[in-house]
Amino acid sequence: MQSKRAPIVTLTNVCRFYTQAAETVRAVDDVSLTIYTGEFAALCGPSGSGKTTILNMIGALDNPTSGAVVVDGKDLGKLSASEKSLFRRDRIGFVFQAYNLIPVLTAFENAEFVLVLQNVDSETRRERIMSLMEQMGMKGLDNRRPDQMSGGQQQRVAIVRAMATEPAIVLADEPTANVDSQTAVSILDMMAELNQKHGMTFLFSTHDQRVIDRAHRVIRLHDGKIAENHS
Amino acid sequence: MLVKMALRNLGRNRRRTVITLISISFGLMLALIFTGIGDSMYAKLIDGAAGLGWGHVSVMPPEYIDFPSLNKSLTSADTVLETVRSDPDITHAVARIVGEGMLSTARESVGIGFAAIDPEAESPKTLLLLEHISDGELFAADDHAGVVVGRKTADSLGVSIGDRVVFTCTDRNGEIVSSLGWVRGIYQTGSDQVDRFLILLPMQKIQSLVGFEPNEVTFVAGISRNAWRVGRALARLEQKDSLAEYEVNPWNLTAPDMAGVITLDRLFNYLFQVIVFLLVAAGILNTILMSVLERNREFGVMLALGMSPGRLFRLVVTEALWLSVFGILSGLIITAPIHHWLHTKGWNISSMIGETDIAGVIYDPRIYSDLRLISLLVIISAAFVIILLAGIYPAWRAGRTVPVESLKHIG
Repeated sequence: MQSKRAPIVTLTNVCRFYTQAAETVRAVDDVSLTIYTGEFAALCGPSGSGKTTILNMIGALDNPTSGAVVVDGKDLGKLSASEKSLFRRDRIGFVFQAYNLIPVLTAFENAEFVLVLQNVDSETRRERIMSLMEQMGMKGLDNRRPDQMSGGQQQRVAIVRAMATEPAIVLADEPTANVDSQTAVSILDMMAELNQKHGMTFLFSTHDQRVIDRAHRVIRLHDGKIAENHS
Repeated sequence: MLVKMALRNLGRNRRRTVITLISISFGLMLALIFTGIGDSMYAKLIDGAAGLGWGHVSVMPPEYIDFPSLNKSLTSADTVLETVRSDPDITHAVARIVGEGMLSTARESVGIGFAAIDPEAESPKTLLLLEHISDGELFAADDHAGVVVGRKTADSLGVSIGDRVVFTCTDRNGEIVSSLGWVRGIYQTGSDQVDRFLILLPMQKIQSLVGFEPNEVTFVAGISRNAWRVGRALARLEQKDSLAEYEVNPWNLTAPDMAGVITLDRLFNYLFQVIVFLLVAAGILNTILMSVLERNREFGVMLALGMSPGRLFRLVVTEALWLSVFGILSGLIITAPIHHWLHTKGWNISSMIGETDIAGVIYDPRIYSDLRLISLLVIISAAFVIILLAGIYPAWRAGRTVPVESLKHIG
């Protein structure tokens, strides 16, 4: 199945080393990996295994020490800071562990935030956001501020925000880590539905077994290396 | 969205925002009130200096201002008077002969400065001390022997209304000339310097005494409708052909002591305002910087989502912009009643000070605020710019947020 689809992410011999207290930490060590369009894949492994670092590099937030990261046909190492900013805005959807909604904006405003950055007209924004919010079971909550919503509701808004721009890939960093198990299941169901309905590519970092069980492909990391990669 | 977000961000820590707004308002109020008082006081001092005899502008013979002498005169006073009066900013124009001499009685003599005036043309608007005649009155137009002296001069000579005095000076040829006169009025301005020096004499009498022709005077003084419009009147008068052979001087050249006092006071006023605004700016910088540092993670998220550093910079600057708008508005609101009270009623400070003269110029001991539009606009603009500048550094720091660092957690 993978071979019939186009690669959306290609990591080639990617290393990311940090220097911490005069010691070199090999956060990601010679990783080569391809993610294909429409995949629902999970990067899993214990804390410090390099999951978030890989997501950050794919999301153009971090640069590899060596190797190449190509996302949606763009070699991220060749993009300037402002090009990376535009690339993130237009091609990447982020879902963070701690939701990271903007506290002064309502659910609707948070969801439309990236569309505003893209200068999408207000009518299109409203249409797209309201439709996604309805799909995510958030109808009627659009005027709530983050502090007036539960963790699950906030994470749903974050997913709407990530989906709204129709990105090339949604990168979700531990999306179920801060919600109760019932909410986690419902969020996963919704993301799976979006993946199936819209063919949206999802790449999770997680050590939540429920996420791993639902993933179509699991990439296990250990000490910055791929220990296992199976569908 | 940027404008809305910036506004809402100010509401996140209301107490801090309110304290910042209070400091902006208070700083603005101080600047406006002090400038208003300064503007009012300077205008009064300038009017006072003009009312001492030289006017806001004076037309005089070349080099008279540096080397005054009865040898130098205007020989066509009527033409000069007509030209000066024709200026739209000049309300009054009067001719004068001035010089120094001696006033004596049988027992005492005092050195004095004299101003020969046409009583029909004069009023307190042109000669402030006429308002302060406490005994007697100004000599009439047909009274060629009248003299008005200051209280200190009268006391020194031991004279009162109706007493005989002898006025002595040198004429235009350097000859000593004398004339008999009678004290018609005694003025008391409150300024020792004025009250013991200046006496008033009839124009015609002095013209004949010093050897002037009937149309010959030392200078013509013009009174402006507004102390701040003197510059415009001066510029126009300097262009007049009929005044081409004379000098047209502003009040600051004829009353240099007063001009110096005003310049120095203005300098201290500006310095004070700069210090106030710097303190306010430091407070604002602290407020915005704190709010930026507290939102490091949030900025990281915004940048991760694709917001450009420039847009983030603008967001923080917009917050400073809102602070300046609200701060300036609240500052104007709290200043308005204070300014109104000072403008209409004034604050009497006579109990705090003794004499009511500065550099020999008499002034009203009541403090008023009379803020000029230009001063208001300059202060508001300065406050606006300073607040925005205070927001630049925090905004720059926000724009330099590294998203991956802000979002960092072990994974």
